[in-house]
Formats: sequence, C-alpha cells, structure tokens
Amino acid sequence: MEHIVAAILVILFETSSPSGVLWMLLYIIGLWKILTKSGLRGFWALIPGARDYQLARCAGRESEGKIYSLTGVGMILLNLTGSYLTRNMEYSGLESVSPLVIVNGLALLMLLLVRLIYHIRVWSGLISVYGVKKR
Amino acid sequence: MSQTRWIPAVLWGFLKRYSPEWQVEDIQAEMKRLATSGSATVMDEGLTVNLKDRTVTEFFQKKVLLRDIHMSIPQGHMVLLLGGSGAGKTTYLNAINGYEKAHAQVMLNSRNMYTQYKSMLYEVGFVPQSEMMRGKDTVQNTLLDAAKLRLPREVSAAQRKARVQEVMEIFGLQPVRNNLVEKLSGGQKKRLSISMEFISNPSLFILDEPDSGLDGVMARELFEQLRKIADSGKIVIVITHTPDRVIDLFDDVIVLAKDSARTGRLAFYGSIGDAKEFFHRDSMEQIVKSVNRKEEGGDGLADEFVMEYARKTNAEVAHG
Repeated sequence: MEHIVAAILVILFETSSPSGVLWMLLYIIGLWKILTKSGLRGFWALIPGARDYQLARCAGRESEGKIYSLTGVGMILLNLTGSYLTRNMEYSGLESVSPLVIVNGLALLMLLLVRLIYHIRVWSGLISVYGVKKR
Repeated sequence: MSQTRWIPAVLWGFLKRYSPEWQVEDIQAEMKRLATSGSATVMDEGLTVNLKDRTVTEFFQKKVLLRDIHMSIPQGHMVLLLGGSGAGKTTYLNAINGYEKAHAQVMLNSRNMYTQYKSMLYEVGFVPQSEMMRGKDTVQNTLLDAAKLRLPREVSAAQRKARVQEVMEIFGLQPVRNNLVEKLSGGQKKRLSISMEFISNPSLFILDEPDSGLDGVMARELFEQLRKIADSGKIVIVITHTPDRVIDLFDDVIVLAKDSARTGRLAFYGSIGDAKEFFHRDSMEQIVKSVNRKEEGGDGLADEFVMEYARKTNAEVAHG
C-alpha cells in the first residue's frame, strides 16, 4: 500500500517526499495562476508533462516545451522503475546493486541534465515575459 | 529545480504587478482572425502571390513555416526582401518559384506558376547565395553551358552564342570571356552567376544575398545592374543583409517576421518610404531589428507589426 501511495505521489507531484510534495503543491498553485494570466486554462498545472508544455507556451518557447515536457514524463517513469527495481532487490535479498538499477540511475542522471538545459531555456523565456516588464 | 521554482511561480502568479507581455490564446486567436481576410488581386502583368500557408510535418506534428502572405508586385519593380534569420525568406522564395510548393496561388503575368510549372521553369531566374560554377571553365563556356540548359531545344547554336554575347555585354563580362572562372574576382563571379540565370531572359529574377562578400563599391555596381534589369520590365526580388547602402535603388520592400508561434508572417509590403513611416524607423536595418525576437538582439515587436499591417490591409480592402 505504501508503495502504491508513493507511486501515485511520484506521478502527480514528481516526488514522494513530504517536503517535495509541499513545494510541488505551491508550484502547482502558482503555475495555475500563471497559466490563467497568460490566457490558458489553469487545470493544465495539475497534469504532469502537460504543465511543462503549457508553461513553455507562456514563455514563448513552444518548441522547447515539447522536449521539456517529455523529459518531465521520462523522469517520472524512471523514478517509478527505479523504485520498483530497488524494492525488488530488497525483497530478493540481493546485497550487491543490480545492473538494472545502475542503468536506470544513469538514464535518470542523463535525463536530468537534458531537463536542466530545457528548464533554463523555458525559465529564461518566462523571465523575459514576466520578470522584467512590470505593469 | 522543484524546491525553488515555486517561488517565482507564486510571485508571478499572484502578484498583480507582474503581468505577461502577451497572452498565448489571445494573440494566436487574434492573428488567426486577422489572417482569414484579404487577398491580392491578380494582375495581368506582374507577380501576384496569395499564400495561405506553407507547412511541413516534423515529428508527427504539422508546423506552419509561413502564413497569409498576399501581395501584387508590378513589372519593373525591384523589391527588397527583409527579415531576421528564420523568418522564412528562403522558404518564401522557394514557394514563389514553385520549388517548394505552398498552399498558395502564385500568378506571374496571368500564368499560374504551380499548375504551369514546367512551361514556366525558365520564366524565373534564381541566383543562390553560393556560386555553383566549375572553376576550370572559361566564362564564355560557362555561359554556353548555361544557355544549353536554360534555352529551349529549338534554339540554334548560333542563336545561343548570340544570346551569350548579349548577356556578357550587359553584365560587362566581355573583357574576361576567356578567363577561367576560378581567376575571376568576387564581383565578376557574382555577375557571372547572375548572367547564367539571365540567359533565359526570365520575367522574375530572384537573388539570395548577391552582395555577400562584396565591398560597398562592387555591391553598388551589382545592384545598379539589377536596377537596369528591373527597368527593362522584369521583377527583381533581392535578399540582402546590408540593404541601406543601396536602398535608393529599390522600389518596394517586403518585411517577413517570425510571430510568437514561430511562423513567418508578412509584417509589411510597400514602398521604402511607407515602410519607414509604418515601422517608425529610419533605416532597413532598424526595421529588421524591430521585428527580430528579443533573444536575437531585436525589439521583439513582430506580433505587433504583423497585426498592425493585417489591420491596415483589411481596412484598405474594406474601403475598396
């Protein structure tokens, strides 16, 4: 049951840690308002992946938004497979780390780097749309 | 990332003093609405372009490269094509000459470029940015080869030779007719490149940066040559990144700009003087800067000018 709750939290909030969920909740609330201000529907903030794409649209970075949202979805999937593999390893009593866990971890790291690049691109666009001009 | 991004999200989302510079849906809906009206009337003599869109499918998604470009260019006009990088200048030229067909109607002297493409192939001369000539050929042989390719089969060898002589005369290549292409200066190579296309006496002449690599004097000479071609009743469309040094030679300017949806749109078509008035800028370079995106060092006003121009043309259409 605990694992299922953790998986649901990862899918919805990209994390299962209590503090992470809190930050993410605040982010979703702020994002809802940003999307509304930009003329989009706020509920997109609730949907993993789509929230990144819609944010990129607000920033005028639609093409980057596609990859940004894909990296978000990819990270959720890799987090889920990672926790599944680790749990399996614990159940089967393996002491050494399974190669699959290492591959999963490396893939996660690479995706994180790609996401960071697109994160910077999208947020720099958002800064020029929101951050500089004050009315 | 996730631990800190909530701060700007909450600030920008909740504080009233932070407002986006534009709204996603608003601007796209407005632009779509403006795009639906207006089309250029087909001229008996000249080029009429009514381009609805030019799309490509990339990663299973349709991408609009150009949208709603309508204009009529009379014969004898020399037209400058302006726009920042990625605004769709080359795509537009390829759509005009039928090389990459768009969802459009392109009429040249009352003939449809798309449906009569084969018979009109040599009605259009396209000079690319980079010269495609064999260095070991002489100027005369290069032109004779071009004549063989571009003139109809029924034209005799003597007629071809006469045409080559005529073209060499026009472009001042007679003194170097026996020189190897590789020994020519930059300006001479450009003139030869243009001559090759001019062999078939096209009604529409398109040049992609013919002055690249030329100094001011040589560039001016080249554009004066193009002006003469336009004065002989042809339409000459030129892309250049240094237009201000030769702007007095042009009649009209087309300004293409990339809108917020990254689609190439028509921001202006008209005389040089009207363009300066419309954009409130003194030079063509400043006009390009005004429509370029901010991250490209521009003023980021493409959407505003595209909409303003669409409103202006729609109002003109409404008032007849």
